[in-house]
Amino acid sequence: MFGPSAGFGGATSNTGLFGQTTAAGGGTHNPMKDFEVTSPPDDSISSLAFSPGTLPMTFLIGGSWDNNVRCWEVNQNTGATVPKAQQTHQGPVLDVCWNDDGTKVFSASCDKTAKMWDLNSNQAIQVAQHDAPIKTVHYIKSPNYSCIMTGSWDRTLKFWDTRSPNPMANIQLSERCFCADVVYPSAVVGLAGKKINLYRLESGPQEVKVNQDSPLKFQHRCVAIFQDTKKTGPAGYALGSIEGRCAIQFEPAATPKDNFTFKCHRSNGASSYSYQDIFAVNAIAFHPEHGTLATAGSNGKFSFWDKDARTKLKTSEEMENPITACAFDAKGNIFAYAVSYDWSKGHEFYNPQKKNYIFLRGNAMEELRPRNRKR
Amino acid sequence: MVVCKYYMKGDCKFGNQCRFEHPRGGSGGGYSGYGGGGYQSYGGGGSYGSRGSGNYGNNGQQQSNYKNPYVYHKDTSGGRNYDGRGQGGGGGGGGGGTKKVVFRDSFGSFGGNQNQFGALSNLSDQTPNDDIKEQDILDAIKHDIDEWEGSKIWPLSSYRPNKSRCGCVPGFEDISPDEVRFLAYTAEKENKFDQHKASFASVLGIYKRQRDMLRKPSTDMKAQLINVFRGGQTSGSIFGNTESTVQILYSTLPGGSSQALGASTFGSTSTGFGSKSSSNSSGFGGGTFGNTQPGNLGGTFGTQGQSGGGASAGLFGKPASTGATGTGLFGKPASTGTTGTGLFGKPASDGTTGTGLFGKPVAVGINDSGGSSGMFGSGGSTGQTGLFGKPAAFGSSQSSSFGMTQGDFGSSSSGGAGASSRSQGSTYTPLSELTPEEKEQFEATSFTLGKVPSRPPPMELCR
Repeated sequence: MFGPSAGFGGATSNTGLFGQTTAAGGGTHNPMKDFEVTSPPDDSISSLAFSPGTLPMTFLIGGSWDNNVRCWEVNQNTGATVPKAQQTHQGPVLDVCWNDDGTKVFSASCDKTAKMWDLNSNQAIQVAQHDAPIKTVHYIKSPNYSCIMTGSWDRTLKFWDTRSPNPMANIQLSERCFCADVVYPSAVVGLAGKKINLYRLESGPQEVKVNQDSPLKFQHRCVAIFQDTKKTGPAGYALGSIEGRCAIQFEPAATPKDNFTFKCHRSNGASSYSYQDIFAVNAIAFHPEHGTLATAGSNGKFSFWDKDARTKLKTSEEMENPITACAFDAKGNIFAYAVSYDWSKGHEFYNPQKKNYIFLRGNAMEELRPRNRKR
Repeated sequence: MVVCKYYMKGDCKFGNQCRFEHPRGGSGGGYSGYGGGGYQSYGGGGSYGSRGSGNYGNNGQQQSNYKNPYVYHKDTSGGRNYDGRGQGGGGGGGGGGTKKVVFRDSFGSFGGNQNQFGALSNLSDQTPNDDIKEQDILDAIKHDIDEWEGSKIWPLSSYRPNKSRCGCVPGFEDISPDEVRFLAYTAEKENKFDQHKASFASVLGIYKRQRDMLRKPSTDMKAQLINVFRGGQTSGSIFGNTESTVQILYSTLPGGSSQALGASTFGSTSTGFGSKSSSNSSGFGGGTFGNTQPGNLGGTFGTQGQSGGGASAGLFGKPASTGATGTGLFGKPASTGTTGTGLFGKPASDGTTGTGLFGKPVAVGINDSGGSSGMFGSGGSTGQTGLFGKPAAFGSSQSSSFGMTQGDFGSSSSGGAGASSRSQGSTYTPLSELTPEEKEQFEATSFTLGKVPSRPPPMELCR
């Protein structure tokens, strides 16, 4: 199925999943020569999510600041994408996710609602309501119940069974929700003020830790839960900050030494008379097979890391815009990343003329393989 | 009048009494301290000031930024030398080119020891807090602050000086880039973008001033910082701020900050739960969508002329669509004849109704069978429903709500000024207002327990 490992910088070595063809027209907008998703959103891409492995086909959904949620079908063999459908919110879309069987997509928006989009009927209905924009949405599937979890800037975390206008649970947070992740049975929520909340979800949300201080010095930006090495369940989380730094936190940690932070998404230009540029970590995604991770930065680069060996596997070339979202497909073959402005330099640097891109990289299974471990 | 160079650095001791000009509309010095990159225009009084006069495109500094708006993430070492070492598989990026790149200057240097301070790098986590010298703490904080600005890290962040063992320095609140963006989009829609810019500049200025205060802390602040560093409890901003920066920034929202921060009863507007997506269910933006009156539209384009062409190239302007003629896979308008598909309105001096980003014909008539292109309807046939389609929620009338804001670019100029001055005053207590006891405390080298003033020190006694 896989060609020989592609050299990362090789111009014509994209011999991965998508066969021999090199993506057309590399150019400056596509320095990695990856497959460009057709009909990308008209404004920055806030979020990406691949369909679960339960579906025979692969779909990618993307939420955008242009108020839309889009769905593409991805050809696993050629890397070609076909736009399938879209839904519209009345404000920018900040997060998207799938349900477990791939029939529904959830989207969270600045219009203070979350919607459930039934792909079979192509109908979307509102399933959540907050008092402020909803920053995160996650689907929770437990043996006893299923629901979605929404985290908002209104300082609440709510759980909805999608059939009732009232939440099944409504948790007050000490601060605005900035980021969250769910890997059943754990949920982690990153807040303003550098607080972290942890929940167990077996029988409804139970607080495990509330307002934990994170080990980071600056604002939280993204969080992703990782599994233990045997993939039996959540083992901890990676937390990214605006200060080019990730924290790897085990939960619980066998020893404090298991936890560490590492720097990323920084320029090399540090010299005695000037500071290096330090960029935000905009997104983190764990590889479903290898447990290695990708970080996407405001510097327009993504990097692959092996947290267990504490090594960097790869860093991309620099895109012409920050990378705002990234995701792996269910099998771990494809790495998708979105190149668009992230507001990290304020409105002055927003250039609506710049096209937004989503790229698919077809060799993720090889590129994210831990280097020093036998498989 | 000559602009005060100390003020521009955020460091003028004379405040309002200074004989040189302190430009208003920006922040106290804005981000000029951030150096060459992009932040110069971020909060600087100059750029906003001239912006207000409608001369947007003529500001030299601004223009140069637009020519190369992405200079900020230019990585000096970047990918240039990258190709050459990709082959080994271990090349990694950007790093030192060594074979196995240990997480650069991170794992290698401190591994399990999480201490990351410049000045404190020789201290391990095991060093008891109380054993760290006060001056080392203050130096470490200064180093952090210098890096915060010098490395152009997102400015509106909370800050924790001692990452594993203390709380944040009170007074720095987290405001995410996404929140600022949401507020910018909302303000643009509400015709309040200048107010947003002003409050943003004001908030930037507050953070900047606070960072400057941390660099050269007063005696009182030194004590508070050391207390914070050692895990002590603090309440309220140590900078004497009474107003939350989050609230200042959110003040441009319809209904103000209280609703957005979850303190109000705004949730009562939640209607339409469970209804089809096509209904205007939420109260977002006060029903701006789809409700614009044609009359306003006309007026808007009438004022357009004032702002001149410069505005269209400005922040939210966008030239004609990127050549996607008629493909319309995502319901993109096929008409490329309109001169603008601006995100927030469009230049359109010819008066055509522009198709703003949010105003495009919605995807209708989605065909579930797959395969055929153009499945999202390339035309503007609003209201048409396909097999699985839905009524178009967003007609072209929306674009007018953005178009309206165009007038804003050219006409309102005063919004920028007011907000920034407010924080300046609140930082210090006037000397004349102090009680003798408070004055004595501020003048002493250290506070007497039980007599610590609750008010910020006067400017005269700082330093």
